[in-house]
Amino acid sequence: MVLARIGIFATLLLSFASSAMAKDFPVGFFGPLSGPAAAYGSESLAGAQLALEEINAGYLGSDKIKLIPADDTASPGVAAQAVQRMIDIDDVVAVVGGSTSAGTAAAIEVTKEAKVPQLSPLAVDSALTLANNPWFARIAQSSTTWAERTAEWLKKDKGAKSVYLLVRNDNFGIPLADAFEKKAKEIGLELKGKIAYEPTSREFRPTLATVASAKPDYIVLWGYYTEAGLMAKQMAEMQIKFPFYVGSAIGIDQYREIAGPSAEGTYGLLYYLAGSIETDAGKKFVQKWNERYHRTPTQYEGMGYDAMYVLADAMKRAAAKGGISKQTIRDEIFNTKAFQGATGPITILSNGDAQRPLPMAELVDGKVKLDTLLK
Amino acid sequence: MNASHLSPASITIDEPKLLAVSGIRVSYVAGVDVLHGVSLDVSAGEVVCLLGRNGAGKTTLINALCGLLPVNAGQVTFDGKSLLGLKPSGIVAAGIAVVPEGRRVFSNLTVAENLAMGAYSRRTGFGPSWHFERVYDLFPRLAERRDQLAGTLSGGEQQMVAMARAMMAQPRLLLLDEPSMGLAPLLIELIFDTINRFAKEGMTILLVEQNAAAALDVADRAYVLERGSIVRSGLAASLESDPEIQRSYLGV
Amino acid sequence: MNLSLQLLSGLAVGCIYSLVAVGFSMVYRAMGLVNFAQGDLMMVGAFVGYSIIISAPALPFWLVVPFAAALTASLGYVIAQSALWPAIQRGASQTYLVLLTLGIGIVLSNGARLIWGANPRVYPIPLTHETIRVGQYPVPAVYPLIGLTMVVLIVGLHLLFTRTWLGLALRAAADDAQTASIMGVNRRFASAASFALASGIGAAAGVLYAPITFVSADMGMLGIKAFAAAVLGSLGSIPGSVIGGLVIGIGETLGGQLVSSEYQDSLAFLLMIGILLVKPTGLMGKRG
Repeated sequence: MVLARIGIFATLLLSFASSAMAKDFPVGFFGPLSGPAAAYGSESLAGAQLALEEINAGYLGSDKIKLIPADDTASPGVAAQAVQRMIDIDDVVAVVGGSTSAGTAAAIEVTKEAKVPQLSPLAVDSALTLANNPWFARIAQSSTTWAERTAEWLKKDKGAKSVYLLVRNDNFGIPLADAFEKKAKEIGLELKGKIAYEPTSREFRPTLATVASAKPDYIVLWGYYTEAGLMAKQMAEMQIKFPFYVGSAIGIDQYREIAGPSAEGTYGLLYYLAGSIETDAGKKFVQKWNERYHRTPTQYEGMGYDAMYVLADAMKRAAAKGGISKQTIRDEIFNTKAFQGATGPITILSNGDAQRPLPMAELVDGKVKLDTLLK
Repeated sequence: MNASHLSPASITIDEPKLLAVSGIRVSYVAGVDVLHGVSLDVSAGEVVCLLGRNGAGKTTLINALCGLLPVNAGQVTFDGKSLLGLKPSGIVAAGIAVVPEGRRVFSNLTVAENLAMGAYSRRTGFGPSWHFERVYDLFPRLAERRDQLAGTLSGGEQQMVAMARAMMAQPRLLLLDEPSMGLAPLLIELIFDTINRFAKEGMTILLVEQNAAAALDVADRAYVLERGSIVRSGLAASLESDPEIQRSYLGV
Repeated sequence: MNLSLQLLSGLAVGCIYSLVAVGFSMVYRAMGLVNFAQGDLMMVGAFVGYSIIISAPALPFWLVVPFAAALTASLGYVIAQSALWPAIQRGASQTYLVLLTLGIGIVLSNGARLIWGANPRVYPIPLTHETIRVGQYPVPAVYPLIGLTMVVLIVGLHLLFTRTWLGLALRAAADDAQTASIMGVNRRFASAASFALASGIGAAAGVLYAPITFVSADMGMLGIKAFAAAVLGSLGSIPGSVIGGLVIGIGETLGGQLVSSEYQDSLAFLLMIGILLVKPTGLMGKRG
């Protein structure tokens, strides 16, 4: 009896001691969870949450991460406010986000001021890392990288001699097209022409007729998936048959729905393609996702998952070196070298950009098939 | 008791009034009455005219009678039934048709369509069942122009359209608001001829006019409205010979 | 690329503009206001069509059009009765009413986003991706249906306006609502009926446009071009709106190819400004 009491007392004491040592680190997450861009935010959040389950099951020893999600509705103003609040009220040690370039750009101003490390899973705008902001890094490649890899792939892997560029006339399409054009010139890929269309456009027949008359080897689009879908559809209706590169649209279901059968054979570059990463980490993630949700993960889910892991990995190394703080997390994020993520090995460069493989894919029989994993 | 109640015309107590207006108050803005307790009546088959200058409240009275303005106090009965609270559609259905001030023809509708709209309150079938013959008899000019847009007609022709349109409703009481306004003398004559013909056929008419001489000629009785109140009433003939009326309204 | 093929697609899109423009004109005449929710009512119609297709997959597509039009017309009727009429009756200014329609448009597009989601919807019917041959050229199979519906609707409207009491009353009320009311026309009903009719026609346009593209909550943007079409043809004139829509549809397709496809979307407005400079009252407008 007495022994039992001592036992209970000891257990209580132990649990008290361990809970005093183990810590819950609040980490913020923001992205659009509602509105037209909701897929980017909610899917990367879903990925991050699966990673979080694994991380809180012992990846950081007894330490845990407490995730505080916020919906920025894809509005830069809301993003900045949400991040400010999680810093002021929840005292987060790091922020994962955002999922759009505009939201990310607004949040950067807040995290930089507060000296809180921010890691974005999806933001690609090249301008985000131009300032060498020490508090911001991302695991998505910059738009420049996307454009340059595409140009190189067309020239080297596909043997293309000429291309025609179609560009969404806004701050998404223009920088991508500019970077592509520069690289194309450098490697001797002929530009047969370039048309920038208005973002509201839905009727591309005149444009496509002009493109077709130039007879390029490839048509390259830097635009949204809705436009990609309509262009593919209208090309098919007009019997224009040129290989068509549609960018990240290829990974989006609605692109395939809008384009219908004409999506077949189009190419595109993805953040991540489930099944394209042959490493243990890559296989394990897809398997686990399949068990949980009975489907393969999307590109955004993969990116959210890896962003969480890159952060946790940095925290783990910081803890091993002496302690987790905003400063040490930041240092270790920037020390990330060939981290074996689900989306491939990730290295964070000194300006905050990432090195990571990019899967170039083709639509074959209605399915996204890996064409080449661009390193 | 008002002096007007002693006038010969209002002593016909036993005869049922087709239209009886008693003590109505009407305002555009709450609290600012334009009509301060107006009473008048029209018996079946009578032509009654309402004289008054601009701003006396004549059109306000017409608008109140056809349901465009609410009556704040008093009573309006038509054939013994109260008209208060009825919508314009209810009033036209009861048998009161209006020739509004300024003619107000539907300018993008043809003459025939304008006339058809006059019959809207009794709409039965569409097209062939319209009875245009009577109004085309009255206004042969309109028959010639039946397919012309009303907006392209002259002022006099538009006034004919407005009158014919009101007749299409087959009303029991016709309200005419300033039918001669803005017309050339020859046309004014034509309009009053027409009113006379209506009267001879037994139509009951309440005529609002500034042209007092012509109006008193066709009317049986008359009322004089000044600043929202009836100040005189009586047989048309006796008012016509009244020196004060002659000075104020007949320009004698 | 063959120009006559472009002409066909310009004509098809032009028909869509025309129908939405007719809606602008009808409401303008009946209520004296520019209804900037017209494009969004078209969008709602397209989504309603989507829901009809999903819940009754066996229904032939040509029947989806009247069903979606009727449902959207009912919505339009409710909007006119509950939101617009009280404001008109209070004597709200033009500016206020136009802002009100803009607000209604925003509510509709956000509502659509809540109901049907943020992602674009594609009609899951073969017609969406089918083509037929016109001569040696393939054209989307929905084109003939667009042309046919447009003709049926315009003829139907003409008959309604000239051969029925309702149509006559609506025209009379559009001309002079107060005088129409003393003839027995209920003003509130007349304006709501016109608004409902315009909503239904817009919905038909939306359902027909959907197979060419897709349905999304921001689809109402097309309304701006239809507005340009209505103004170009003379706002308030139904034949003018039809012609205006076709002029813009064909103009931007041909202009896009012959002049510059980069400015294709500005062409609608350039055409409008150009025509208004020559004829300030619009193509079908009366002089002075």
